[in-house]
Amino acid sequence: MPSVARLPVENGNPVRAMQELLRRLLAEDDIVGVFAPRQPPAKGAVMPSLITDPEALASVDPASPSFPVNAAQQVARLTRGDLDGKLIAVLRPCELRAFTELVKLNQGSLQNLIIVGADCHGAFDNDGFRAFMESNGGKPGIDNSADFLRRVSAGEFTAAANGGPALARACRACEHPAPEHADLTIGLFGQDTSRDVLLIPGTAQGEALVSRLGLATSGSGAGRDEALTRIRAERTAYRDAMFEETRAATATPAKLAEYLAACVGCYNCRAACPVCYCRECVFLTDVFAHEPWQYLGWARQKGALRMPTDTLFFHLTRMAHMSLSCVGCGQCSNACPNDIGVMELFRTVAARTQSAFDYEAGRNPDEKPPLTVFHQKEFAEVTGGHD
Amino acid sequence: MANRIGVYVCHCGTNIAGKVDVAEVARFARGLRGVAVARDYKFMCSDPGQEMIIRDIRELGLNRVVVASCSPRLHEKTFQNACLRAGLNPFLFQMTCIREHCSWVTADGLEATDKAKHIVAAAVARVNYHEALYSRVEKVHPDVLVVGAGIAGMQVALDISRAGHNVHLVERGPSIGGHMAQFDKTFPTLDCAACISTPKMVAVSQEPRINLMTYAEVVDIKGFVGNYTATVRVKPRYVDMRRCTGCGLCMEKCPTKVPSEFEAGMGERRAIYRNSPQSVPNKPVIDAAHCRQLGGKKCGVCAKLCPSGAIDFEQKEQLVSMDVGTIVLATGFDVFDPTPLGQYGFGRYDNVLTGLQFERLNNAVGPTDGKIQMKNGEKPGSVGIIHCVGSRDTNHHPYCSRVCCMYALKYDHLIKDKLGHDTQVYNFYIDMRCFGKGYEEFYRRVQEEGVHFIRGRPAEVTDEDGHLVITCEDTLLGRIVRVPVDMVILCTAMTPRADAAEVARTFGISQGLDRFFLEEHPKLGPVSTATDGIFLAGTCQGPKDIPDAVAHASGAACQALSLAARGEVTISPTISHIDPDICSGCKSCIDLCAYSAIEFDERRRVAVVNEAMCKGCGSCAGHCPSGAAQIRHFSERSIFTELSGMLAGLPHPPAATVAMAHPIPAAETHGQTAQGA
Repeated sequence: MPSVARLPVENGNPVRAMQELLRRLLAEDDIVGVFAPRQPPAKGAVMPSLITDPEALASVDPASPSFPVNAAQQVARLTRGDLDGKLIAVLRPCELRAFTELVKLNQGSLQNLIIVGADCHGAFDNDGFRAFMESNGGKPGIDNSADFLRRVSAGEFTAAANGGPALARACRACEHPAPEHADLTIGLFGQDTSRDVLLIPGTAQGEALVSRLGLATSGSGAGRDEALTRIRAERTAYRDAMFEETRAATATPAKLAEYLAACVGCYNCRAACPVCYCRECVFLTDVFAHEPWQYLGWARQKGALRMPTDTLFFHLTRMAHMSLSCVGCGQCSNACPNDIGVMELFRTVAARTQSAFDYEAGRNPDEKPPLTVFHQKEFAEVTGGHD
Repeated sequence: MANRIGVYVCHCGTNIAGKVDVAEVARFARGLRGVAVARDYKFMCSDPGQEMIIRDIRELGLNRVVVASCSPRLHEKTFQNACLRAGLNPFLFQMTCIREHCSWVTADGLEATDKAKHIVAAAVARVNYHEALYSRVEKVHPDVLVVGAGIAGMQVALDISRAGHNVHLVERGPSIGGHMAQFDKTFPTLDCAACISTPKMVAVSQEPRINLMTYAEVVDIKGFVGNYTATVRVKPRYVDMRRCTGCGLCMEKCPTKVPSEFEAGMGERRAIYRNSPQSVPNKPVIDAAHCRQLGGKKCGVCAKLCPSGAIDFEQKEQLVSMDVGTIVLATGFDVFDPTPLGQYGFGRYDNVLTGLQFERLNNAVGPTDGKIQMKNGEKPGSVGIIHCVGSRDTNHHPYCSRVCCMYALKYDHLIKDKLGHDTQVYNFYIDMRCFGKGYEEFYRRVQEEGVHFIRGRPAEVTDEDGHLVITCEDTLLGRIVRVPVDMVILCTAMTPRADAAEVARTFGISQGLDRFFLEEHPKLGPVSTATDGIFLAGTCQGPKDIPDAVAHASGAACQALSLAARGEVTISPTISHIDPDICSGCKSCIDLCAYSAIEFDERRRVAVVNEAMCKGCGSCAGHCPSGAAQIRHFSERSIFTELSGMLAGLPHPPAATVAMAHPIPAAETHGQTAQGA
């Protein structure tokens, strides 16, 4: 068990303590920048930002309950090639896991990167975040985040029972609330975040940083493990119920077509997906540029053709391409203009495809994506035991 | 502008027309979009059939052609050439199969006709997206690499060198000749193996066009047909081949004795040794695993005795690389180790021998100078020969080793000949397979010599009071027989080399279910492999006797020569292409490519296909999520359109409909099923 440091919180706002940590890290000679979610000048959701000026850190907010974009693609963009020093990236657990998948696909690199993760209570979808801000009395900036941490720790936002905002379904079904293989983890679970938060090194690089910053380390993060176990259990139960519900709703081709009936083919889910990494989606290439006579032929077969076409095909193709890398961040559902449960569908399918290969997206950067490796013997139940 | 497609439906005599209403299929095809003409004809592959296509291309201005007939494996080239003769690019042609895929496998004529229509509609839809492609021509390096210098490898090397091409002949052992050098006589003519193989060995060593590399192994192959680069590891012999005269003094005083591999354990050799005085090369080699000096102990006796100072303990292994155009593998076989068949007592009883051990016992230069004797030096009064040990046995090797019946007959004769007619010889056989030239005659001759033949697979061999007793059900008499003998010979199976899988990987070829190297086609391509420019000779492809191995070897030599002599090879254009504007550089395809044909361009961060190495297998295209990797002639667009054509409904619904596991209500599928999965 690595030793754990504590970051003291002043004025009751843990976000300030996180900002202070980043300020001290940015002051180190070999660190060229901080990549972190940042409050916009006006009210609104945080956006990932690349920060080089320590002054700009004053609006960084890793605890914000807004989650308009999964930052994995942006970190990949920043690490795809040379960087003149080390970059600190502050990521949610699901962003880190998505980024790990992108690293496996040669879209980004762990070199020159120091990953700071934070325990994640979850976030609202875009609508939910607006409702939260209204319910919180329209305070400015990071004070909302401190309030959120306090209220969510007290058990709020897990259900919209009182008509108030609830966390996104993806977050409530997420069994990975703590960052995996981050260099440094900011521990929030089970802590009184108005007093202090934990700083847990997860790698040798993380340990070196903690000692360079001269932070005193104590024995352990009291209460965090218990809180984590409890949160995981709650979320796993929610997830399994969601799987059941989604399976029932999509059990036949007809039901699946009905499930996706509102899809307009905007491809927002694909654009929002952090692990959909193609430069150009095959659905935009001429493979799907059908000729007018083809449409007419399909229409003639049944008397009527729903347009745009290829709806089911698009979603099935994306499942085939990406379900093994799906980290369940929920941005697909957040981006859907017609409220289709894309996250529910993808997570349900991903649970099956990933377990088929004993694979878990984002678990380990050294694991190869299953479809890119060849095993002489696998799926004996399909092959009948033959090679 | 719409294409002008010609569709030609073949009757294939009654093969297709007996089941499929071909005239109706042609009539249906005339109604398909873009079809300018559709005809049916008795035999499309005949000259008049081909002429019909050529005339239509010229007179009707067709720019696409579909032939619905047999498998493309049979006649795709025939019709592509017909298109070419008419001035149409052969890749604007599509052949589709309504025989193997339709008429032969469909019971009902109406269903077969409907299925043929679907198949034709798919081909017509797909051919719209064909592009003109052009084959590429690559130079072929004139030199040939031959791996293994047994009788097959030597034959290949001699055939090729005599045609004026250089051969690199690489042999793993210290001398050449292979298993044949261990034999005494050969069936059915009983000529001495040494008398017929040593002249070949000498010819190999004296042929200036053969670069003989013994005690060497191929460790790596790079490149593609016509342009391979082989890396050969030459193991240290610790004997300077230029200085050594082969006098043999060094071997007399070497203090270390170990069982000899060449004698199949029937005799010993020293740590410095050669297989026999007739070995080629006849210069010894030091076995580093057993040499005292190389093991760090004080010795060096051989170095002190050598009159020419040829012993060199400082020799190091060398890596030699060479460019060749084609490769012939002649890596031979291993002899089945009968130890797992414990019931026959091999390893427990002194006088239970393998066939190869008996060959050495019987060999004039073997450990007993050719005397057939038991361990105690006495001559056996009776000998039992058990056939099919490890062969035709589902617990070991299901195949027939093809040589055992004949060498057993040879032993029968030699035992009678050497030990006298009073010596009793019993054969325990399942079937006598004497199919070669002069083999049946030899069988008859041996029968007339008074040899016993008992039909049955023995249950066990036991030792009873110093006698071996073979217990067997004589399946012709229908009773158990117990035959006491002094000596038992096990006719052990020919098996693939123990390291066949590694060798297959090194050369990029496949193994069959029996683990022998897999030929391209069991009948029509028995010496070529699925990897262009790599051929098989002899028993590495499957059990063979000497005449078959030599014939197979000459076949492989001819195949290698036809490429080497022509000097160029046509490479199919139906290979992968990765669009650099679409490739995301995820490198997944690089790991998936079985032919190492994809490289990564670090500057552009995209994967690039090496066209010379790509075989067009489609692994990359199947995986690539963006469709950046696609196989020319099998583009995603043409495949999806083909599926769409295949699944399109027919104007008249079929008489019998196939029940679907999950019927999809038409209104709810939004038309996706028509566009493939």
